[in-house]
Amino acid sequence: MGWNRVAIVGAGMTRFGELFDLSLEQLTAIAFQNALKDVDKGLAPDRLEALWFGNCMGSLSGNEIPSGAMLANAIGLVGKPASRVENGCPTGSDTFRHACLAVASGVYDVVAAVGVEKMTEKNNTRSLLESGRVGHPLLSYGTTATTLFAPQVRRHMEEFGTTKEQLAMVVVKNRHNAMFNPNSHWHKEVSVEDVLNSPMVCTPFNLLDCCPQTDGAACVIVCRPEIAHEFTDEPIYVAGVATATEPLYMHEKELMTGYACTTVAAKQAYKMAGIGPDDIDVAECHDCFSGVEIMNYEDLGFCDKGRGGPLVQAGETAIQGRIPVNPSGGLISKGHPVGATGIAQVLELYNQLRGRTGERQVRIRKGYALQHNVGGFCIGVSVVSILGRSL
Amino acid sequence: MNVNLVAAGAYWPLSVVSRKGSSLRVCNHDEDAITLSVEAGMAALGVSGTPPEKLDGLYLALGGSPLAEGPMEQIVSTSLGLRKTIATASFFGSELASLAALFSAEDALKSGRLSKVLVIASEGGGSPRGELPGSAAVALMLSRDGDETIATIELVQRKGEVAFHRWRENLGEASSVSDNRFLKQYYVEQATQVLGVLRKDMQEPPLYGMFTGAPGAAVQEVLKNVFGKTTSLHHSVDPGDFGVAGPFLGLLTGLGIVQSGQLFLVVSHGSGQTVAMSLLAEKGKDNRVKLPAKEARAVPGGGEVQNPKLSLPAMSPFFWRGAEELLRLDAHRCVKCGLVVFPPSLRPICRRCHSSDWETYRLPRKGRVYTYCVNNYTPVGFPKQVIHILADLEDGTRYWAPASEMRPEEVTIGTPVQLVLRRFTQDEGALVYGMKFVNAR
Repeated sequence: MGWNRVAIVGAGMTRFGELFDLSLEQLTAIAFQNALKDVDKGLAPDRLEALWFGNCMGSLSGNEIPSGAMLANAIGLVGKPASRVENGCPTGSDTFRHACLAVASGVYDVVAAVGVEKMTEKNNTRSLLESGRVGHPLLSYGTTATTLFAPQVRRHMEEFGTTKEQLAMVVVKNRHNAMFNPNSHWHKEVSVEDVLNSPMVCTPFNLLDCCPQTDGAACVIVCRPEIAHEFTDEPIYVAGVATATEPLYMHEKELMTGYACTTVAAKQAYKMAGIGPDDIDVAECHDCFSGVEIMNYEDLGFCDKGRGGPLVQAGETAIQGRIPVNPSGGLISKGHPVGATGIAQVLELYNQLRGRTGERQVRIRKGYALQHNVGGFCIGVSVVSILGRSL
Repeated sequence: MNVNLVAAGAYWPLSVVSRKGSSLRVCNHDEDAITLSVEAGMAALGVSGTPPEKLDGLYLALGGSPLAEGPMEQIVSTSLGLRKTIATASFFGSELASLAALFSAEDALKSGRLSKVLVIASEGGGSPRGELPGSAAVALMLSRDGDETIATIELVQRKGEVAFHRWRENLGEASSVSDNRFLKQYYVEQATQVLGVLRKDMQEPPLYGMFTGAPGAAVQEVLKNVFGKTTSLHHSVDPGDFGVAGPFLGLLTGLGIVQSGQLFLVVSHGSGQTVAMSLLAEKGKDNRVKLPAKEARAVPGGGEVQNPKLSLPAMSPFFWRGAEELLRLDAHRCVKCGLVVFPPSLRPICRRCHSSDWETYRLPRKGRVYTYCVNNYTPVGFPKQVIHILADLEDGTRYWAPASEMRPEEVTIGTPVQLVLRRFTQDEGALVYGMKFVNAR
């Protein structure tokens, strides 16, 4: 069932972490070559007709106004059409979406979506914290990534009794999952107490409630479903892919216990796929901060409004649970190299649906997986993709 | 010279430090002579019920001002919602700049050039370490017509000499020692001469008076010289030394004490000059005077001035385009569907009905915390901790701003708050002002 006008036939990534020894271009090339290698029946680079380049922090990291040419030059495909996508935290997933739309339009047969981010090119105080210096000079005064997400989580705690312990349980789960993912930034389990005792960054987030600053790249290769079997016997299909926006500044938002853009994008993606939340076997969602994953459960329809806390507490989002979320370790453990994040999520789900994720493999029942990002400055945009095993 | 006072409002900071047993009002790290002026001006406008557009003059006397140049008068005027075409003037450089502003405004009224003006004396003060003077602002509204008068102010006499107010030795590290012997001697002589004129003109001395900028011990001697041993004048000495604002605080004290028909004496000293004024109260003054709030709080730690680089430079056209929306919360309301948007310069088309037909709508200042966060890891140059508040305002709209003067433990969902104008940064001499939340007062 579903839209299914695009098939995924290969996916590759770099390990995620503080990769001081690798440049943006080198990371890009590693992910690209890993994706080519991943194509079961092989794929020559020249077969790719167009490229999409997901990169968010370029301007902040000293690479002023990066373009698609940066990608083409990094992977030795100079001359090919290449476009850069920058769309906040969903940059990677929106890059994937644009690649899908290009194939679905009939213009191209085979294209690549590559996402990459160097989050460590500037020191800690000069990288993500510098977001306080973008946007409206007064309405964004002193804001950082945490202050964009914390007020909603605090409101969620007020309205639904969500606890700090439940937030910590998201971290415990995702840190545990990451133990089985060699590409993860963190490989260290933590306890609820560890989370609660870590330094308070921005209420209600302690240090361990936050994702790390991570370098990395990821690449997926997509093509027309009609030719997918040239490359693999087990292609994965894009059953639905949608994006939505919401009122931008904090004082303009109508929903403050979740993200309106996620609910709209999810609804559209489910409609395209012709399925509902109960049909999803596994999800990779945007857990940049622990409490955000809890709100995502609700926005994506995995539980009723306000029941996200109890859902994680009951273990239902663990790998063995009813609806496993972030088996890769999520942003909290695997890391959040913004341009690569969404594409790495698609990669995880591609491998999960093909049964190739080893110890962190979830049980595939209905054959559908959901990918989700939310963010952008002030949080105004969300992308939701649904992947399916069959046409 | 006979000034018709029609309303008065005052403001001083919440923060106090202890100095030699008495408390001194000091600016918070984001307050200055400009923000105090706006608070006092709003108090005077509010208590008088006069629409801001009825005013045609703004006279400022500023002490401890953060700006040597720049559009200070326009920042205050725009914040108060005054017309863009009004006459403005500012006075500096002396503790008696307030009186220069007052009598210049009076000249403009008497000449018929202006009809209703606001004269604001604002002292930004010393430093949070407790150096003199204290911080306060007083706004007096004057009118050409006598029918609304609550008091008249008359200049009695003045005398000026080349004498420095404080003869002191600077010991470095913000420490100095003053020698008050010289001040006391020349002040006693000067004030005795100035008040001597009054004594000749009057059969009886006034019942009450206030001395501002004067050394306390010298006042008794002056009174003895002028009125003799058995003076009936009940006087007080400006307790905190409020610099430029001192003389106006003296007038405000008089308004609070004397009854209709009674005379109050204000003797102000500063920058080598002593000026005596009399204030004659009329009926109906009680509901036209807004005194500063008594509420006070010891200065919290970490109140250091921070001047973070913002996303746009302070002198950029952004702050010119956005002056009305940033300084007085002028939002837009959709004429078609009623949706309120802010800031209007960023929202040219209505998201609800797609109309672009707007009317100006000023946001209310009071509300309650809807949600918040306390951020301990801030960008370089910003205060080490910033509390961000999203509040439901009284009309149901919302506003997001950093908090000021609030401790983390005081902020929770439902806490009553209000928006006040505060300084956000200083960027090569250019100042950026905008709204912050403080505890509701």
